[in-house]
Amino acid sequence: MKKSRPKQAIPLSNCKLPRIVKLVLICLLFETNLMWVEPIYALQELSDQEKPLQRKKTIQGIVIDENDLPIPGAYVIIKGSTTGTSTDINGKFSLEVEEDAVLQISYIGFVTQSIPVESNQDLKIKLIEDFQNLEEVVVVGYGEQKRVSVIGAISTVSSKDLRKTTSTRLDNALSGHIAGLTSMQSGGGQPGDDGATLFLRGAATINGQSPLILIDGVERDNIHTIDINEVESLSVLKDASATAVYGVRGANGVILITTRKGTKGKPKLSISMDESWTSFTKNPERIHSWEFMEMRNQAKVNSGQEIEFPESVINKYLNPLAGLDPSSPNYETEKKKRLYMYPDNDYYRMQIAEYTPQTRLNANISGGTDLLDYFLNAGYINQGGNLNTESPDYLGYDPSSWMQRISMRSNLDFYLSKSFKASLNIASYAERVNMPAKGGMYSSTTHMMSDLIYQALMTKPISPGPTTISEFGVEDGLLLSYLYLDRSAFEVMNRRGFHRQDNKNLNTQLTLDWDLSKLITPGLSAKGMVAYDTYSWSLLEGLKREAIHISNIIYATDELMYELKDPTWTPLSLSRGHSSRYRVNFQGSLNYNRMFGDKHRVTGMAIAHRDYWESTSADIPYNVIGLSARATYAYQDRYLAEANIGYNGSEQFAPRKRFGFFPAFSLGYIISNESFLKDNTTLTWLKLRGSWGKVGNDKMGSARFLYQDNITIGGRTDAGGLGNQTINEGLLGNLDITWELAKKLNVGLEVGLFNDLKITFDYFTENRDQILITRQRVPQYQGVLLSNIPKANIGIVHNRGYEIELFYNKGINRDLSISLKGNLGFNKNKIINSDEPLRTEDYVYRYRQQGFSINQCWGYKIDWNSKGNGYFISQDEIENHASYDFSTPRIGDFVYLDQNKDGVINEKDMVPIGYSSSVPGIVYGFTIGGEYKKFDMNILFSGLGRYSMYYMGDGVIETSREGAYFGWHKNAWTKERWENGEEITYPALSVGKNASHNPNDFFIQNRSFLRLKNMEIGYTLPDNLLKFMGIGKMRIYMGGMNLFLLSNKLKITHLDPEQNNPLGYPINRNINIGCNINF
Amino acid sequence: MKHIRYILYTCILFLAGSACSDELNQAPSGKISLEEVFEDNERTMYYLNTCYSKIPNKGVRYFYRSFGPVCWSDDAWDADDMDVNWAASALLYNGNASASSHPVWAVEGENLQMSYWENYFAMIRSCGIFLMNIDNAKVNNERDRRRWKAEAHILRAYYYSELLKWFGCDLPIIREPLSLNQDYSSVRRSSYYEVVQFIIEDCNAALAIDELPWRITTSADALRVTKAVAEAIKARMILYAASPLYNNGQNYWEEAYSIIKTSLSNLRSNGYELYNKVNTPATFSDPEAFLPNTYAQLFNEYFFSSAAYSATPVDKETIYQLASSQGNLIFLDGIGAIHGNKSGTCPSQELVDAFETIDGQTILQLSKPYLDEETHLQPNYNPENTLYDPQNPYENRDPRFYASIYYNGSKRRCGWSFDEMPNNYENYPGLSGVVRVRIIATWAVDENDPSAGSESRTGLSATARSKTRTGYYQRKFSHPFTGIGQSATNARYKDFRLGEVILNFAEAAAEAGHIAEALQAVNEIRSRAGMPDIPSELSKEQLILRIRNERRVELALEGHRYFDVRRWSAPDGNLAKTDRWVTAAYITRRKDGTYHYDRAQVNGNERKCYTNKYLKVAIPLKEINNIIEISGENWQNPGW
Repeated sequence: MKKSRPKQAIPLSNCKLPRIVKLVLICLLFETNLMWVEPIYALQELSDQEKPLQRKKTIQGIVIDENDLPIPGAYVIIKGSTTGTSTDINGKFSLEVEEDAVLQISYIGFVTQSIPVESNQDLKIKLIEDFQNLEEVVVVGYGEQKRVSVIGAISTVSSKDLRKTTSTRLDNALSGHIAGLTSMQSGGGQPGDDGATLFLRGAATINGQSPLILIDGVERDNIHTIDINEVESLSVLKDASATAVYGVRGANGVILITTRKGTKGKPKLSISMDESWTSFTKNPERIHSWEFMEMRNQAKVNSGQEIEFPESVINKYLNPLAGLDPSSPNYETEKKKRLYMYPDNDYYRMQIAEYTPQTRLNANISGGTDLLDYFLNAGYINQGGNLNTESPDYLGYDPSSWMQRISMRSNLDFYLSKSFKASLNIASYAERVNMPAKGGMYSSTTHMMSDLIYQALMTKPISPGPTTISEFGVEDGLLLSYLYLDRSAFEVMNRRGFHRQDNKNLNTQLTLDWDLSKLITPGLSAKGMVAYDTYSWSLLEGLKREAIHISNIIYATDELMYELKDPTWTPLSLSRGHSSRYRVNFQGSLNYNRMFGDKHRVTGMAIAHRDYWESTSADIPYNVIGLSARATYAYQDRYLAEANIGYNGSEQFAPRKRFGFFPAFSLGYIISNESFLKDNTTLTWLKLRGSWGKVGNDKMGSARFLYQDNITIGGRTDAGGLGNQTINEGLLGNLDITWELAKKLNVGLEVGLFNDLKITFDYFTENRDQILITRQRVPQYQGVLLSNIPKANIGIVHNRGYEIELFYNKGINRDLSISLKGNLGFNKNKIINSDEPLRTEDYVYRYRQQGFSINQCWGYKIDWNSKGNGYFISQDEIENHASYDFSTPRIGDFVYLDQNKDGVINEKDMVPIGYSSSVPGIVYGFTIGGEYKKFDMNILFSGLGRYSMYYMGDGVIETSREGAYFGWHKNAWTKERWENGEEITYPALSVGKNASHNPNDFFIQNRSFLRLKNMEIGYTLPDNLLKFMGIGKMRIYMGGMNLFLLSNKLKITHLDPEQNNPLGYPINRNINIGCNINF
Repeated sequence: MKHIRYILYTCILFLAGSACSDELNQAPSGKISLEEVFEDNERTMYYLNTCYSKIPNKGVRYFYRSFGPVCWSDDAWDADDMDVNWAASALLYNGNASASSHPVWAVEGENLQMSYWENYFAMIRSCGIFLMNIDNAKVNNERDRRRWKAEAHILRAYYYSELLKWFGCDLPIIREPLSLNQDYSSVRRSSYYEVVQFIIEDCNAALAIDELPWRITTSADALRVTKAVAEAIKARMILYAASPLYNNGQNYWEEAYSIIKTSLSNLRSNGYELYNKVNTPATFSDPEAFLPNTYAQLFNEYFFSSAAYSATPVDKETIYQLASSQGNLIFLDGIGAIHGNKSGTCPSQELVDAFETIDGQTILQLSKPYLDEETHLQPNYNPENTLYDPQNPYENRDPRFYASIYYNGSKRRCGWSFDEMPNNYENYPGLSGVVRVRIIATWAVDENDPSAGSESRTGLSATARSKTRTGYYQRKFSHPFTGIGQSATNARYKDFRLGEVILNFAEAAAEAGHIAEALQAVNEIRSRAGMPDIPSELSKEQLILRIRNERRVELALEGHRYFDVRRWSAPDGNLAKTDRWVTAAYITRRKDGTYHYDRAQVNGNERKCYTNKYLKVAIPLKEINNIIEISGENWQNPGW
């Protein structure tokens, strides 16, 4: 939310006017603010009440906001009287009052507060922000509007709320704040690569689903890196009327981020420091050596094989020192050896530290003079990764995982004349991300991290390591790997080198704002903007290899030996790389805003913009040009109408298909401004709004220029003598392809009750057609690879849903105030056409896409009503059951339902299970905030629902390598456990893939969850102490992020439901303390 | 004045913003159209190069250094069978195959060449486009034009032959590429035999072109196809077409006989002959190469080498060798223990049983090699064989046995990565990293210490990737001395060699009743290996069994057996007798240091990939569903 303090604020106390005139003025001002009906009653009371004379005294006070910043121009009147004043530029006032008077303090955008005058002491009155603030200005596409006149579906979140997170990234901080916006950390929490997946109102396309993100009006990709302290407000534009101006790029919704500006007044310096301890939300359960061996034996027996670990071996691990004579001279050596040979290692914990620190520092100054407003910010973040690496002193390089970022911003507004303003925004960051080497082996650093976690999870607790010990043929500390693994986590993490990437970014933007009211016509202004961004990265990587040994243990003789697995030993060699890209954006616009008479407000906007940029990987720059326009009309602030138009060209399409026209229309009706509701004190606000329009989407994945045949000459030899080149036939072109077209309808209702509660409800439908898809109903034998068949605009997806937002804010008394915010978004999409071939009649479901949600999960239904409640309990039962096409089931495997009754369980029996694996159908969040005296508290919960995933593969199941076991395998099916009626959490363990390891309603799991996202408890230090220290305000706080899951439907106990890859870097949990200081 | 300046600036910004739509015209990207390809000599040539791009690499490059069909046949067991869930062998052994996910095509091979159905049809289309355009393409030299055209014909025949081998079903013959807007409901399939006729037609079209050479004589032309390749494709595919699984009840043996006879004679008259001499005796005849005679030496040398491109090459047998080196087999598909890595292909006891004794007697009775036909634990010994001693089984065997297989007691001189342990007295003491002669011990259990399990490095193991599943390791394709610190990666997979064509001929001749010619051909193979002739008095059926056994021995571990046992099967048959139970040598080291030889089932598990449906690979279900919807016809192979 962007607040603007009204410029018309008049320090009434300075005016030499009769009191009654002042009052009328005050009331008029209140009147224009529409909601402030309470003071009017005060005025009405005034005439028919006679007040007895009482003793008077002069009181002084200061009015401050929640950040303890003074509020100039706030109105202070004595309740039940006409007497009043307003605060001066420092927020101070003085007033002569009677002893038992009650002061009523109000200010636009804040909840009016009544305070009895009790003593002579100076008053300090803190006003609480009002969510129903209608004077508030909302950032909309290419402009701003007063909230009162907004008729698009737009949600906002203030920077104050966002700053309550300990996340280092803005996109992660959005979770739970905005109705209909999904922010999931599905990629995990790897430092420097821990961004969120964003969906707005779910998804309505199979192609690019992410919303368009603009920072200060320019498309920028640094939502991941922007310092949250730099953000003034964030607007989320959802419906066609809000996004049509973005034309071909707006269909997935738009997120607008606005950075902070200075405000007139003395320089204000604010410093904050914050220290967190990061751990993971979920860790794999500890599996002890003997547990491992028992589970492995179980798996072997279940798979018809002999046990791998006889009891004598298990006993060695249970009691490694058995049989040693403490008085023997080589007892110490033997003991060391035995403990090493028969370990109970927790490789995960050895490689992954439990806690790692994170530091955030920030300082900003803002202020303004008649000539210049300024906001200056500097931020620093040090995010540690949880890898337990060896010391750089020992290694000679630092492979540990961390990220450091320095951010700087300077936003300056120059008032060159009364009608001319120039604004310069410059922001930059330098980020350094360090981690173990990626080398040529891994496709990305994420791949390296997931391999590292994979190796850590796969290393058996019975394996010695992670390095050699001396006295057994080799030196101490050499790399150890295992015959069952290609590498060890210890090796990947420590001994392959390091990877250090420096990312740098510069965002610059100059805006000229020229009021043409006097020159041409009142209300007209022109604006020009040029923005230039650069981004570059450079990389330094040191790669090395060390020889790898394996250990050999002879159980019979307790012998330990090493042998060389791989003798490759290469010293550290450095390589460097760098890349850069840029973006240029021009915008020129004309704006018109004028009131005709006192009833007709007309605004207009026309803008031309042009963007061109380069992407790191693309060889050809991108180009977009467009025109957009908006016109609004408001009659008496009751009837609102708005038209938005976007006209864009996208180079993605053939010349005759290049430009598109995207209109949207909306109407609003503020019923509470009608005379019959105007004075209603219960229903204080009622607004109905609706919009319809068309918006486009030109995101088609990374492929570009799809209208052209992608036939190129590439270097490659297949046969000699033919020129060392080939003709690569890629995707064939289709000259007719064009953008996706979204037809969006939105109906909204806003209700305000009393002055405390506001409820907003939005219902939307979106019919997206012309979705560019690959035709499926083409046989492969025709010879064009299916991936190369020309794409066509034939996909259709329908999406609909609703959102509810609720705000409640109340000052209970002088010491206690509470606020509640809640939001819920529901969406459901359905693929209408994806050119899917109809399957044969013996399929239970003949379509798997059409008629279902995008990425609906499919699987076999387990017969939970079978004799063994879902598990086969006898060979007889298996033989009498429908046979499995994919493999023969064993006792303890799942019983699948033969849905089509053909006696065979195969693909044809698959049914939809759960929900979509990519787009959650429900997203919700709620915040509870409160202040009591000097304490404040804020708790944010966020959750997702109607969300599923098929969990399979390494990190999930037990068959990886020579067995990898997690918590849920401990209670796997055994005959004994079944007969005893014990809890069974997993089918019978196996050594290889079996019938149970298929998509079914066990491995397709519900990912719904509700988590405590953020919690913060603060304490503001007493003034007298601070005065002594020379500090304006100081607040200390502690809290945390992702502290716990209140509800988690996942059956897997060691994975966070928010994370996609079971082997990915896990999601972080933070506990933090910090302080803010204002001078 | 000031204001005017502002107006000016604003206008400039506006103009920049609304600049004309030419801005959206794309910068040059290097894309060209198909028409432009054939308007240029070089590009036309590059397009032919593209037609080569899906020639598979085979050998160990089917899938992560796995020998693919070798391990999926009864010749071997893949040591990547237990804990590597995604490995194709493990999936097949467990019967984890369906029409929606079949390991043979669903796993991505190296070079992404495993999606055979889609990729080979794509290449057939490319060859078709090339053949449609080559006559009118701008080609500077008419000789080039004709040679290129011939190559495209052969490549199309090759891709069709690979489709037939794997899928074994009727296929649409696509001479001219189908259009994407075509009505596919009218596309019909031709029978296996008709497709083979089309392959032969393509090969003949190439053979009729004078500019196409018989042999590649310069390494600049490496990997290009020749007339010899055309003949070899014909010879292989007509043999397949005549075989029981594919002949549709027709007898095509006489036709096969005559086609292969012509091919063979053309190959011979154009300089192709069997490899019959040790060319680098310094290596292969070294006593420490442990190859007992020149036959074994030349056989081992042949498979390790890469054929030179020369008019007078040393290797006149290889007709077509594939592009990629087979790499250092010892690390990834040989004695994995040398490097602590994976052993991959472990030759089976069944394969070992197929090697005759040096007197030309089979070990088992070929008509019924095992008394318990499905479990293979009771060998049905050939009573006429007097040389074979089951307790000393590796003496007096076919020289090719020593060149192809490492067994318990084989020796190998190279650098080993480990220290020997005292209880491995065969090799103790022995230090890691030191080049030394090691006796390869594959015993499964030591009577002195039964609890200690098998030989710790190279012994039988049910789980370790580096150890053998069967008691044997692959030796064919391996250099005698590679080990720690010594690398040799020369071996190239020989997709067609004269030896196979001769065996194709022997089989077709015998089936067609030309017994004398069949005998002569099979004996030619045997004499090159130092084996005595097959007696001439055998019945046709007995002769066919001997020829099939000869084929197994000669072509062992080369990937033919998987296809052979299938084509020899009846359409309603299965592979229970060969593929269901694959056995290992179960060797006990006695207290006195001698060995006791027994047999055991690998892992105690049967393979589930022996049933009728495994005779042919499933066509991807997605494709089948599409075809059914388009034309109402079900193209799927039986059982899938």
